[in-house]
Amino acid sequence: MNDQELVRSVISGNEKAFQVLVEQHQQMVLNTCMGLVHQRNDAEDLAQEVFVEVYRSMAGFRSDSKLSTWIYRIAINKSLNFIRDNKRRKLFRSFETIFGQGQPNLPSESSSDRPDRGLENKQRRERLHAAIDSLPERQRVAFTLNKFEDLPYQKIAEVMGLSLASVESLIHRAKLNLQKKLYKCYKKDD
Amino acid sequence: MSHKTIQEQLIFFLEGSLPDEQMKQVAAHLESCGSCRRLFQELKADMALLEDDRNLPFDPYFYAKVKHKISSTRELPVWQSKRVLQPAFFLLVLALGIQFGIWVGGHYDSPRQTVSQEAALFPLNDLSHEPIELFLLNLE
Repeated sequence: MNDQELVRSVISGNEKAFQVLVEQHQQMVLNTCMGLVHQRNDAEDLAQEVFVEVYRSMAGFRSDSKLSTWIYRIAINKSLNFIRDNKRRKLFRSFETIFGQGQPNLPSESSSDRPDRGLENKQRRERLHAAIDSLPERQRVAFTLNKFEDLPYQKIAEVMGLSLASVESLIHRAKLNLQKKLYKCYKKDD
Repeated sequence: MSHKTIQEQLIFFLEGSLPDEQMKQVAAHLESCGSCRRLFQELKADMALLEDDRNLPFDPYFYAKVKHKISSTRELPVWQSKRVLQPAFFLLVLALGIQFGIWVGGHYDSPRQTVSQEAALFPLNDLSHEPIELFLLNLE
């Protein structure tokens, strides 16, 4: 079943077709969300919301882009919105902590997510995620799609609505920036 | 090549995306330079973690969860969504605050001081204390 047939079937109410769609794309959506939000539980919740959105907006899908490109865009937008909301929530929480209400920031879920990992790996992971998060938004998205999804530059250009040259430049700069930020951390650790 | 140039290329060396000649140069430098080699090892260990994040175990109930979410959540109209209501609420509070500030400013009544006309004309009138004749006599 190609993309158009799949979309037509889902719109006509075929549940089996929607299940096929979810199963075909769930790994790519989960990887994309994970690459941007870094927390397993958050990434899973977001991936579910992505497919809820896909289901509801399916009638509005125009076949001028590939289905996977459209789903990538939804996953990226959801993840970026989640990150922005999270920043806002953290800000409010810090105000509450300052004014004596609420609890101080607890360690993130990630620390308990992977009990099998050693402390060193945990610190490395936090450092790496912080470095990725500090990249400018477009560099972060391009880098994530390239690293987590192994997407070719041309596909990233389609998803982000940019030219191939812009994507090449974004990813190159993202890698240089990431490297620089990590070097700073290594030097601080010495 | 200098240490700085080598260090800038390490992430690309790690990926194997440098031209052959540069790959050889960086590899040779890393053989002989301990500090660059240490940076490379650190970078390699960090980038390897990305691979772990990529290969997440598959949730067998994922589709069931999506279906449950679709059936349990009613789609709200745009104007009822939290993303619209929350900023609208903050805007309303801000507008009320500004309105209140303007109202308080308009109704502020400073204590009026009654100043006589003579005092207003001669703010430093000391003639009552020291007549002009005495003042001129004392003036040397």
